Amino acid sequence: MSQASSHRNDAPGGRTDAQARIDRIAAFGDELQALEQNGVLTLDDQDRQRIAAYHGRLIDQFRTRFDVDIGADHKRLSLGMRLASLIGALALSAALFFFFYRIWGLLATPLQVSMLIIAPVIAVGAAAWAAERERTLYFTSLLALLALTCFVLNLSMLGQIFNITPSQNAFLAWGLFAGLLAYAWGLKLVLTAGLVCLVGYLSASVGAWGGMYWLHFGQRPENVLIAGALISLPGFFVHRVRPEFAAIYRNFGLLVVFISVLILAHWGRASYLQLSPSLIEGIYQTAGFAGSALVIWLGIRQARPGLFNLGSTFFILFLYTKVFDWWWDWLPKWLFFLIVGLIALALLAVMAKLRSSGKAMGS
Amino acid sequence: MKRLLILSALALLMAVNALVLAGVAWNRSGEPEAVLVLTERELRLPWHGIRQGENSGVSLTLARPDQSLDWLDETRLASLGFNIERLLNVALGRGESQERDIWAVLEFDGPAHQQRLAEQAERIVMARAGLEEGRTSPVQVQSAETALERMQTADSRLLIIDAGLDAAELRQRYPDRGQYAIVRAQARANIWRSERDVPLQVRGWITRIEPGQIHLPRQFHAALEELTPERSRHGVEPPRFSAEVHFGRRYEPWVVGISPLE
Repeated sequence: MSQASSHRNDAPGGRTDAQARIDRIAAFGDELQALEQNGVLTLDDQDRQRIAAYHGRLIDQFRTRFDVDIGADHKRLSLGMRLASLIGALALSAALFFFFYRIWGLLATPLQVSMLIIAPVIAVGAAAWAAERERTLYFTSLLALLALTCFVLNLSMLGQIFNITPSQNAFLAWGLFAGLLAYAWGLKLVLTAGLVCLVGYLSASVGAWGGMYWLHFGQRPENVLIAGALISLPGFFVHRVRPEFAAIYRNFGLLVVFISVLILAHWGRASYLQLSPSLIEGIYQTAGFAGSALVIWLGIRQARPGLFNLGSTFFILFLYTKVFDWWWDWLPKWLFFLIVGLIALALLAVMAKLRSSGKAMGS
Repeated sequence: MKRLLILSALALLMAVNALVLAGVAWNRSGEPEAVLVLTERELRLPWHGIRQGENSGVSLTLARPDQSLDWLDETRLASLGFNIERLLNVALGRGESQERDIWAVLEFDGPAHQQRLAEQAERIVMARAGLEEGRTSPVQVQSAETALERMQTADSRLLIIDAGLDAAELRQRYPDRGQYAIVRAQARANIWRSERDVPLQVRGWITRIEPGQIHLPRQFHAALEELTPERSRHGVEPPRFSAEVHFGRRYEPWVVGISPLE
């Protein structure tokens, strides 16, 4: 094979691809060592040196370009940094809110308005500045979330200052703003925050079209269910820009759908359907079981662990809440928990079977 | 691409703010839709007082007394878009309520308030008559008299007297802009039964008006603080200040002045 063609696959699409390649290199090294120790394969020195040099160049290149995690310690530190970034963003957002509430009454209206508009602009500028200087984008993510907080504060406070009639349109503005920042820098957490805002907007809009006060959209969980379904749709199409975002649309949207179905499965009175509450609950319980089973199947078929985990979690939730409904009141408690345990063992056996049949398909 | 997205985010930010501020300017342009000179009876201070611990802003709550809305019957609710048939459909074994966005007419210190006072005075007469006949107690009579005194000196005189789906049409019916304000509101309807064997009825009430609170700009804080050294009035104490409130083209209010009351 020519050198040019051998390097054809060395240019990853992004940090995710680069990290996956680094992980494969580490796994390759561990497996090669195991093969040599068991006498299955022994590389000669020339091959060993060539592989080591090639991998060394790749690792340096990816470390410089994408700041990937090299080894388990790096991964643990990266997880810690992500957590710190999230906690920092939440804490700074709260600080910003409380600080403004503390001082705004001391300011004249023009100054209040100016500060409210300038704050998110400064935060976006700071995020752009940080993005130019770091590859991991932890600080960028924190500052982008802060910019979103500033925008939320901006519109909320303008509404209070000028006694503006509130509406759900602010959620749309916040969602679009977060989406633009998320796509600019590939920030998953910011995208999730934006999707939360869009779910709020869609739910409130569906509720308002039905005649209810927009802020009361939660009184009819179907409003949220429809919003979640709409949000999940982009996740089932190919994304040319930010392909890693598809999983977020899918998983977050379906999470919202399943939570709504779970609520309706136990609170039929809240449904729009003009049927008896018990019938509505039965319909949504059936839909919950069928929907989660479908998502599990999709997750296996399309090799998407996020879907599989989501479907499995809610299948178990629907199952256990149903078991609780049926048996908690009239079974002795030891027998109830024994049955729950046996169900868990049965699920374990089914998943083990699925796993082993997946191995057989791969071999 | 990255730069385009960042600039788009900033442009969205500016555009939304421009839209909001343009709306505010339009609301406050031209002649006010209504001008009400309300007092502390109708504009309540925050329960913490003018200086709250974590919030230095001041908003006055638009207060309304408890009032019966007998005029909000099935016919009126149906005209406001409520599905009366669905509400009465108890065969499904479920009660439900419905909500609608409507326009409400707020009357300030008008015939409706006078009617309330007259009805309370009538209740006192009945209570006193009942006291002589042994049907009521002195405590009940005193309670009724105190309630009348509160209505006369301390309670809000803002009452909702009408509702509809068209603000302009309501303004035509109530042209006095110094006594009537048209505001956004939410109406709710549900079913109820006064007694066991009585047919189900539909009742309605106004759950909220917009805005529930009116922000007080900083330039009025000092005046209000001077007029209200104590957090709130007690019992039947008279109001300490009046505030001129304008309602704009979008029916959104703002305070233009605070004055002491003798």
